[in-house]
Amino acid sequence: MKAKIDERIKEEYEAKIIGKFKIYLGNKLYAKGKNKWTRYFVSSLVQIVANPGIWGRYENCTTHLISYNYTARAGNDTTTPTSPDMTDLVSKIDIAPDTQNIVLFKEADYTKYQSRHKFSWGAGTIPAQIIGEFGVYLYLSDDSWTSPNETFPVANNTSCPYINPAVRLGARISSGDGDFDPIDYDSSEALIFEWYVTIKF
Amino acid sequence: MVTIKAKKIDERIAENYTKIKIGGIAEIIHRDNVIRCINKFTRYFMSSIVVVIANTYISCTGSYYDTWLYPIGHGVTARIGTNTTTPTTPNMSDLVNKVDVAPDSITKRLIKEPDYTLYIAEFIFIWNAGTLPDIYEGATAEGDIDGRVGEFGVYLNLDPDDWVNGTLNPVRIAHNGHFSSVVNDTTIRLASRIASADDAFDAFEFYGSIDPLTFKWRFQVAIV
Repeated sequence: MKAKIDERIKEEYEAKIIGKFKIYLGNKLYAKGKNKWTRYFVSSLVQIVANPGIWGRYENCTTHLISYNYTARAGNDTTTPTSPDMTDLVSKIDIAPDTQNIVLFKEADYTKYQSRHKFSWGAGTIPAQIIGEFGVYLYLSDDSWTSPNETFPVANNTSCPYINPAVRLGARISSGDGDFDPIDYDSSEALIFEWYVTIKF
Repeated sequence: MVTIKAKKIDERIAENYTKIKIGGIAEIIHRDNVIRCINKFTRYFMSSIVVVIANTYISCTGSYYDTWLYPIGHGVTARIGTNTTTPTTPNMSDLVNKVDVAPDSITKRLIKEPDYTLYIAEFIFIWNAGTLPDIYEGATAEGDIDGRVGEFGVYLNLDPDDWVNGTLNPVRIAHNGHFSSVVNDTTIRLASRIASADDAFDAFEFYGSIDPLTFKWRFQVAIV
Protein backbone atom coordinates (compact mmCIF):
# COMPACT_ATOMS: atom_id res chain seq x y z
CA MET A 1 0.00 0.00 0.00
CA LYS A 2 1.36 3.37 -0.94
CA ALA A 3 1.79 5.73 2.00
CA LYS A 4 -0.28 8.89 2.08
CA ILE A 5 2.14 11.67 2.85
CA ASP A 6 1.01 14.95 4.35
CA GLU A 7 4.01 17.25 4.39
CA ARG A 8 3.66 20.74 5.85
CA ILE A 9 7.17 22.02 6.26
CA LYS A 10 7.55 25.42 4.67
CA GLU A 11 10.55 26.46 6.73
CA GLU A 12 12.45 23.83 8.70
CA TYR A 13 13.83 26.25 11.24
CA GLU A 14 11.71 27.99 13.80
CA ALA A 15 14.32 29.52 16.06
CA LYS A 16 17.78 30.94 15.68
CA ILE A 17 20.86 31.59 17.75
CA ILE A 18 22.85 34.65 16.83
CA GLY A 19 26.23 35.60 18.25
CA LYS A 20 26.90 39.32 18.24
CA PHE A 21 29.84 41.32 19.47
CA LYS A 22 30.77 44.84 20.50
CA ILE A 23 34.34 46.10 20.74
CA TYR A 24 35.09 49.14 22.89
CA LEU A 25 38.32 51.11 23.10
CA GLY A 26 38.03 52.71 26.49
CA ASN A 27 34.42 53.83 26.65
CA LYS A 28 34.12 54.33 22.90
CA LEU A 29 32.30 51.76 20.80
CA TYR A 30 34.65 50.82 17.97
CA ALA A 31 32.72 48.12 16.12
CA LYS A 32 29.81 45.75 16.39
CA GLY A 33 28.48 42.90 14.31
CA LYS A 34 27.95 39.14 14.22
CA ASN A 35 30.40 36.38 15.00
CA LYS A 36 31.10 33.18 13.08
CA TRP A 37 30.44 29.84 14.78
CA THR A 38 32.57 26.74 15.04
CA ARG A 39 31.36 23.17 14.79
CA TYR A 40 32.45 22.45 18.35
CA PHE A 41 29.77 24.75 19.68
CA VAL A 42 26.84 23.21 17.78
CA SER A 43 28.12 19.68 18.29
CA SER A 44 28.10 20.25 22.05
CA LEU A 45 24.57 21.61 21.96
CA VAL A 46 23.04 18.59 20.24
CA GLN A 47 24.91 16.21 22.52
CA ILE A 48 23.47 17.94 25.60
CA VAL A 49 19.97 17.63 24.14
CA ALA A 50 20.26 14.02 23.01
CA ASN A 51 22.25 12.58 25.87
CA PRO A 52 19.90 10.68 28.18
CA GLY A 53 22.13 10.64 31.25
CA ILE A 54 25.44 9.54 32.54
CA TRP A 55 26.20 7.19 35.37
CA GLY A 56 29.80 7.67 36.24
CA ARG A 57 32.37 7.19 38.90
CA TYR A 58 33.59 10.71 39.33
CA GLU A 59 35.57 11.19 42.49
CA ASN A 60 35.35 14.94 42.41
CA CYS A 61 31.69 15.02 41.51
CA THR A 62 32.01 18.23 39.53
CA THR A 63 29.67 19.13 36.69
CA HIS A 64 31.22 21.12 33.85
CA LEU A 65 29.17 22.98 31.26
CA ILE A 66 29.77 25.18 28.25
CA SER A 67 31.11 28.24 30.05
CA TYR A 68 33.45 26.29 32.32
CA ASN A 69 36.83 28.07 32.16
CA TYR A 70 35.46 30.41 29.47
CA THR A 71 37.79 33.05 28.18
CA ALA A 72 38.60 35.21 25.16
CA ARG A 73 41.67 36.20 23.23
CA ALA A 74 42.56 38.83 20.69
CA GLY A 75 44.73 38.01 17.67
CA ASN A 76 46.75 39.66 14.94
CA ASP A 77 45.46 37.95 11.81
CA THR A 78 43.72 40.26 9.35
CA THR A 79 43.33 38.08 6.27
CA THR A 80 42.00 34.60 7.14
CA PRO A 81 38.23 34.00 6.88
CA THR A 82 36.57 31.82 9.53
CA SER A 83 35.45 28.26 8.81
CA PRO A 84 33.35 26.00 11.07
CA ASP A 85 36.26 23.64 11.74
CA MET A 86 38.68 26.35 12.87
CA THR A 87 40.19 25.26 16.19
CA ASP A 88 41.95 28.43 17.27
CA LEU A 89 42.68 32.00 16.31
CA VAL A 90 45.18 32.25 13.48
CA SER A 91 47.65 34.48 15.29
CA LYS A 92 46.59 34.49 18.91
CA ILE A 93 47.81 37.04 21.43
CA ASP A 94 47.80 34.70 24.40
CA ILE A 95 46.95 37.22 27.09
CA ALA A 96 43.87 36.55 29.22
CA PRO A 97 41.37 39.29 30.01
CA ASP A 98 41.82 41.05 33.34
CA THR A 99 38.13 40.77 34.16
CA GLN A 100 35.19 38.85 32.77
CA ASN A 101 31.61 38.03 33.65
CA ILE A 102 28.40 36.52 32.29
CA VAL A 103 24.90 37.96 32.50
CA LEU A 104 21.60 36.36 31.45
CA PHE A 105 18.73 38.39 29.96
CA LYS A 106 15.25 37.53 28.75
CA GLU A 107 12.26 39.28 27.27
CA ALA A 108 9.06 39.45 29.27
CA ASP A 109 7.11 37.62 26.56
CA TYR A 110 9.54 34.65 26.66
CA THR A 111 10.44 34.85 22.96
CA LYS A 112 14.03 36.01 23.35
CA TYR A 113 16.80 34.78 25.66
CA GLN A 114 20.29 36.20 25.77
CA SER A 115 23.62 35.73 27.50
CA ARG A 116 26.40 38.30 27.54
CA HIS A 117 30.02 37.33 28.11
CA LYS A 118 32.05 40.46 28.82
CA PHE A 119 35.87 40.50 28.67
CA SER A 120 38.06 43.47 29.60
CA TRP A 121 41.78 43.98 29.14
CA GLY A 122 42.92 47.04 31.07
CA ALA A 123 45.14 49.69 29.53
CA GLY A 124 48.64 48.27 29.20
CA THR A 125 47.65 44.61 29.49
CA ILE A 126 47.98 43.95 25.76
CA PRO A 127 51.01 45.69 24.24
CA ALA A 128 50.53 48.00 21.27
CA GLN A 129 49.96 46.07 18.06
CA ILE A 130 47.46 45.41 15.26
CA ILE A 131 44.40 43.44 16.39
CA GLY A 132 42.46 41.73 13.62
CA GLU A 133 40.56 38.90 15.32
CA PHE A 134 38.86 37.91 18.57
CA GLY A 135 37.95 34.44 19.78
CA VAL A 136 35.56 33.23 22.46
CA TYR A 137 36.74 30.00 24.08
CA LEU A 138 34.25 27.71 25.77
CA TYR A 139 34.25 24.22 27.25
CA LEU A 140 33.24 22.25 24.15
CA SER A 141 33.27 18.80 22.65
CA ASP A 142 35.91 17.88 20.07
CA ASP A 143 33.08 16.68 17.79
CA SER A 144 34.89 13.36 17.29
CA TRP A 145 31.75 11.20 17.43
CA THR A 146 30.80 9.30 14.30
CA SER A 147 27.44 9.71 12.59
CA PRO A 148 24.95 8.21 13.20
CA ASN A 149 25.64 7.59 16.85
CA GLU A 150 23.47 5.90 19.47
CA THR A 151 26.01 5.34 22.22
CA PHE A 152 26.27 8.89 23.57
CA PRO A 153 29.88 8.91 24.65
CA VAL A 154 30.65 11.26 27.49
CA ALA A 155 33.59 12.81 29.19
CA ASN A 156 35.81 10.71 31.39
CA ASN A 157 36.71 11.77 34.91
CA THR A 158 34.49 14.84 34.85
CA SER A 159 30.76 15.04 34.72
CA CYS A 160 30.17 16.60 31.32
CA PRO A 161 27.45 15.59 28.84
CA TYR A 162 29.56 15.54 25.69
CA ILE A 163 32.60 13.74 24.39
CA ASN A 164 36.17 14.91 24.98
CA PRO A 165 35.45 18.34 26.37
CA ALA A 166 38.14 20.99 26.58
CA VAL A 167 38.38 24.74 26.24
CA ARG A 168 38.00 25.29 22.50
CA LEU A 169 37.19 28.05 20.06
CA GLY A 170 33.42 28.52 20.00
CA ALA A 171 33.10 31.77 18.07
CA ARG A 172 35.42 34.00 16.07
CA ILE A 173 35.18 37.63 14.99
CA SER A 174 37.70 38.62 12.37
CA SER A 175 38.71 41.36 10.05
CA GLY A 176 39.56 38.53 7.66
CA ASP A 177 35.80 38.09 7.32
CA GLY A 178 35.28 41.83 7.05
CA ASP A 179 33.66 41.94 10.49
CA PHE A 180 35.66 45.03 11.48
CA ASP A 181 38.68 47.03 10.40
CA PRO A 182 41.90 45.95 12.11
CA ILE A 183 42.54 47.94 15.26
CA ASP A 184 45.83 49.80 15.53
CA TYR A 185 45.82 49.30 19.29
CA ASP A 186 48.16 51.61 21.20
CA SER A 187 47.55 50.04 24.64
CA SER A 188 46.66 53.36 26.22
CA GLU A 189 43.00 52.47 26.74
CA ALA A 190 41.12 49.46 27.97
CA LEU A 191 40.05 46.94 25.34
CA ILE A 192 36.56 45.61 26.02
CA PHE A 193 34.98 42.79 24.09
CA GLU A 194 31.33 41.87 24.66
CA TRP A 195 29.86 38.72 23.17
CA TYR A 196 26.10 38.24 23.08
CA VAL A 197 24.33 34.96 22.35
CA THR A 198 20.69 35.56 21.51
CA ILE A 199 18.02 32.91 21.04
CA LYS A 200 14.87 34.11 19.32
CA PHE A 201 11.84 32.02 18.53
CA MET B 1 33.88 75.52 22.67
CA VAL B 2 34.89 72.58 20.53
CA THR B 3 32.28 69.90 19.92
CA ILE B 4 33.59 66.42 19.34
CA LYS B 5 31.29 64.10 17.49
CA ALA B 6 30.98 60.52 18.64
CA LYS B 7 33.22 58.22 16.70
CA LYS B 8 31.44 56.68 13.77
CA ILE B 9 30.38 53.16 14.55
CA ASP B 10 31.51 50.58 12.03
CA GLU B 11 28.86 47.87 11.81
CA ARG B 12 29.21 45.08 9.28
CA ILE B 13 27.29 41.88 9.06
CA ALA B 14 28.52 39.21 6.71
CA GLU B 15 26.01 36.39 6.63
CA ASN B 16 28.03 33.19 6.29
CA TYR B 17 28.29 31.00 9.40
CA THR B 18 26.82 33.79 11.52
CA LYS B 19 23.53 32.15 12.46
CA ILE B 20 22.64 28.92 14.11
CA LYS B 21 19.17 27.90 13.04
CA ILE B 22 17.15 25.60 15.25
CA GLY B 23 14.24 23.50 14.12
CA GLY B 24 12.07 20.73 15.47
CA ILE B 25 10.81 18.45 12.71
CA ALA B 26 8.15 15.82 13.40
CA GLU B 27 7.20 12.73 11.47
CA ILE B 28 4.04 10.90 12.53
CA ILE B 29 3.25 7.48 11.09
CA HIS B 30 -0.07 5.73 11.62
CA ARG B 31 -1.36 3.01 9.31
CA ASP B 32 -0.38 4.13 5.80
CA ASN B 33 -0.31 7.80 6.69
CA VAL B 34 2.90 9.76 7.03
CA ILE B 35 2.71 13.31 8.38
CA ARG B 36 5.75 15.56 8.24
CA CYS B 37 5.50 18.88 10.01
CA ILE B 38 7.25 21.41 12.19
CA ASN B 39 6.91 21.89 15.94
CA LYS B 40 6.64 24.93 18.20
CA PHE B 41 9.20 25.28 20.99
CA THR B 42 8.40 26.31 24.54
CA ARG B 43 10.21 28.89 26.61
CA TYR B 44 11.50 26.17 28.92
CA PHE B 45 13.52 24.63 26.12
CA MET B 46 14.85 27.94 24.78
CA SER B 47 15.68 29.12 28.28
CA SER B 48 17.53 25.85 28.92
CA ILE B 49 19.71 26.34 25.86
CA VAL B 50 20.87 29.77 26.94
CA VAL B 51 21.34 28.45 30.49
CA VAL B 52 23.63 25.60 29.41
CA ILE B 53 25.63 28.04 27.29
CA ALA B 54 26.11 30.39 30.25
CA ASN B 55 26.58 27.76 32.96
CA THR B 56 30.11 27.23 34.19
CA TYR B 57 30.44 24.42 36.70
CA ILE B 58 29.39 23.20 40.10
CA SER B 59 31.18 21.01 42.60
CA CYS B 60 29.43 18.82 45.09
CA THR B 61 29.84 19.56 48.75
CA GLY B 62 30.67 16.03 49.76
CA SER B 63 32.93 13.41 48.28
CA TYR B 64 30.68 11.23 46.16
CA TYR B 65 32.19 8.53 44.07
CA ASP B 66 29.14 7.48 42.05
CA THR B 67 27.31 10.25 40.29
CA TRP B 68 24.43 10.64 37.87
CA LEU B 69 24.47 13.52 35.43
CA TYR B 70 21.15 14.56 33.90
CA PRO B 71 21.57 16.31 30.53
CA ILE B 72 18.58 17.81 28.74
CA GLY B 73 17.79 14.42 27.21
CA HIS B 74 17.46 12.75 30.60
CA GLY B 75 13.97 11.31 31.04
CA VAL B 76 12.92 12.20 27.51
CA THR B 77 9.42 11.07 26.64
CA ALA B 78 6.45 12.00 24.48
CA ARG B 79 2.68 12.06 24.75
CA ILE B 80 -0.22 12.51 22.40
CA GLY B 81 -3.26 14.65 23.15
CA THR B 82 -6.74 15.30 21.82
CA ASN B 83 -6.92 19.08 21.78
CA THR B 84 -7.63 20.46 18.31
CA THR B 85 -8.36 24.13 18.98
CA THR B 86 -5.65 25.66 21.19
CA PRO B 87 -2.64 27.17 19.42
CA THR B 88 0.76 26.72 21.02
CA THR B 89 2.22 29.54 23.10
CA PRO B 90 5.81 29.83 24.40
CA ASN B 91 4.78 29.43 28.03
CA MET B 92 2.69 26.31 27.51
CA SER B 93 3.81 23.82 30.14
CA ASP B 94 1.89 20.74 29.03
CA LEU B 95 -0.38 19.39 26.33
CA VAL B 96 -3.94 20.68 26.61
CA ASN B 97 -5.71 17.30 26.63
CA LYS B 98 -2.93 14.84 27.29
CA VAL B 99 -3.43 11.11 26.89
CA ASP B 100 -1.01 10.11 29.63
CA VAL B 101 0.31 6.88 28.15
CA ALA B 102 4.06 6.55 27.68
CA PRO B 103 5.60 5.16 24.49
CA ASP B 104 6.68 1.52 24.58
CA SER B 105 10.05 2.35 23.13
CA ILE B 106 12.24 5.43 22.75
CA THR B 107 15.37 5.44 20.61
CA LYS B 108 17.81 8.29 20.29
CA ARG B 109 20.68 9.04 18.01
CA LEU B 110 22.98 11.81 16.88
CA ILE B 111 23.50 12.61 13.21
CA LYS B 112 25.76 15.15 11.50
CA GLU B 113 26.66 16.21 8.00
CA PRO B 114 30.26 15.74 6.85
CA ASP B 115 30.70 19.46 6.24
CA TYR B 116 29.88 20.24 9.89
CA THR B 117 26.99 22.56 9.08
CA LEU B 118 24.09 20.38 10.28
CA TYR B 119 23.73 18.48 13.56
CA ILE B 120 20.66 16.47 14.54
CA ALA B 121 19.42 14.85 17.74
CA GLU B 122 16.77 12.35 16.69
CA PHE B 123 14.20 10.74 18.97
CA ILE B 124 11.81 7.99 17.86
CA PHE B 125 8.83 7.21 20.09
CA ILE B 126 6.74 4.12 19.35
CA TRP B 127 3.45 3.08 20.91
CA ASN B 128 2.78 -0.55 20.04
CA ALA B 129 -0.64 -1.74 18.95
CA GLY B 130 -2.69 -2.18 22.11
CA THR B 131 -0.90 0.48 24.12
CA LEU B 132 -2.96 3.58 23.31
CA PRO B 133 -6.75 3.70 23.58
CA ASP B 134 -9.06 4.02 20.60
CA ILE B 135 -9.66 7.72 19.92
CA TYR B 136 -12.58 8.61 17.66
CA GLU B 137 -15.53 10.97 17.41
CA GLY B 138 -18.52 9.82 19.45
CA ALA B 139 -16.67 7.16 21.42
CA THR B 140 -18.63 5.89 24.37
CA ALA B 141 -17.06 2.53 25.11
CA GLU B 142 -15.12 2.19 28.35
CA GLY B 143 -11.50 3.18 27.86
CA ASP B 144 -12.08 4.79 24.48
CA ILE B 145 -11.69 8.55 24.07
CA ASP B 146 -14.18 10.78 22.27
CA GLY B 147 -12.26 13.02 19.88
CA ARG B 148 -9.26 12.90 17.59
CA VAL B 149 -5.51 12.95 17.99
CA GLY B 150 -4.72 16.66 17.72
CA GLU B 151 -1.44 17.28 19.50
CA PHE B 152 1.93 15.71 20.24
CA GLY B 153 4.41 16.80 22.90
CA VAL B 154 8.08 16.08 23.57
CA TYR B 155 9.20 16.34 27.19
CA LEU B 156 12.81 16.94 28.26
CA ASN B 157 14.78 17.74 31.40
CA LEU B 158 14.44 21.53 31.28
CA ASP B 159 15.10 24.61 33.33
CA PRO B 160 11.99 26.07 35.01
CA ASP B 161 12.90 29.48 33.54
CA ASP B 162 12.43 31.15 36.92
CA TRP B 163 15.71 33.08 36.81
CA VAL B 164 15.65 36.85 37.07
CA ASN B 165 16.46 39.03 34.07
CA GLY B 166 20.01 40.33 34.52
CA THR B 167 21.30 37.36 36.53
CA LEU B 168 25.08 37.73 36.93
CA ASN B 169 27.38 34.72 36.59
CA PRO B 170 24.56 32.16 36.64
CA VAL B 171 24.98 28.68 38.07
CA ARG B 172 21.74 27.04 37.05
CA ILE B 173 22.82 23.51 37.85
CA ALA B 174 20.76 21.37 40.20
CA HIS B 175 22.91 19.28 42.47
CA ASN B 176 22.10 16.95 45.29
CA GLY B 177 24.58 14.37 46.44
CA HIS B 178 24.74 11.68 43.82
CA PHE B 179 23.16 13.55 40.94
CA SER B 180 23.52 16.81 39.12
CA SER B 181 21.46 18.31 36.33
CA VAL B 182 22.65 20.64 33.57
CA VAL B 183 19.71 22.92 34.37
CA ASN B 184 18.26 24.06 37.67
CA ASP B 185 15.78 21.23 38.10
CA THR B 186 15.31 17.56 37.42
CA THR B 187 11.73 17.74 36.23
CA ILE B 188 10.76 16.96 32.67
CA ARG B 189 8.82 19.75 30.97
CA LEU B 190 7.16 20.33 27.63
CA ALA B 191 9.88 21.29 25.15
CA SER B 192 8.04 21.01 21.88
CA ARG B 193 4.42 20.80 20.77
CA ILE B 194 3.05 19.75 17.41
CA ALA B 195 -0.57 20.82 17.20
CA SER B 196 -3.36 20.59 14.69
CA ALA B 197 -4.54 23.92 16.11
CA ASP B 198 -1.31 25.40 14.70
CA ASP B 199 -2.14 23.73 11.37
CA ALA B 200 0.85 21.44 11.75
CA PHE B 201 -1.37 18.50 10.73
CA ASP B 202 -5.01 17.48 10.44
CA ALA B 203 -6.36 15.85 13.58
CA PHE B 204 -7.06 12.16 13.02
CA GLU B 205 -8.96 9.29 14.55
CA PHE B 206 -6.73 6.54 15.83
CA TYR B 207 -7.45 2.98 16.90
CA GLY B 208 -4.72 2.24 19.39
CA SER B 209 -6.13 -1.16 20.22
CA ILE B 210 -5.09 -2.44 16.81
CA ASP B 211 -2.63 0.11 15.38
CA PRO B 212 0.87 1.18 16.40
CA LEU B 213 1.87 4.82 16.34
CA THR B 214 5.32 6.15 15.51
CA PHE B 215 6.35 9.70 16.34
CA LYS B 216 9.79 10.84 15.22
CA TRP B 217 11.15 14.17 16.44
CA ARG B 218 14.34 15.72 15.13
CA PHE B 219 16.00 18.60 16.93
CA GLN B 220 18.23 20.01 14.21
CA VAL B 221 20.85 22.68 14.50
CA ALA B 222 22.41 24.22 11.41
CA ILE B 223 25.22 26.72 10.99
CA VAL B 224 24.25 29.00 8.12
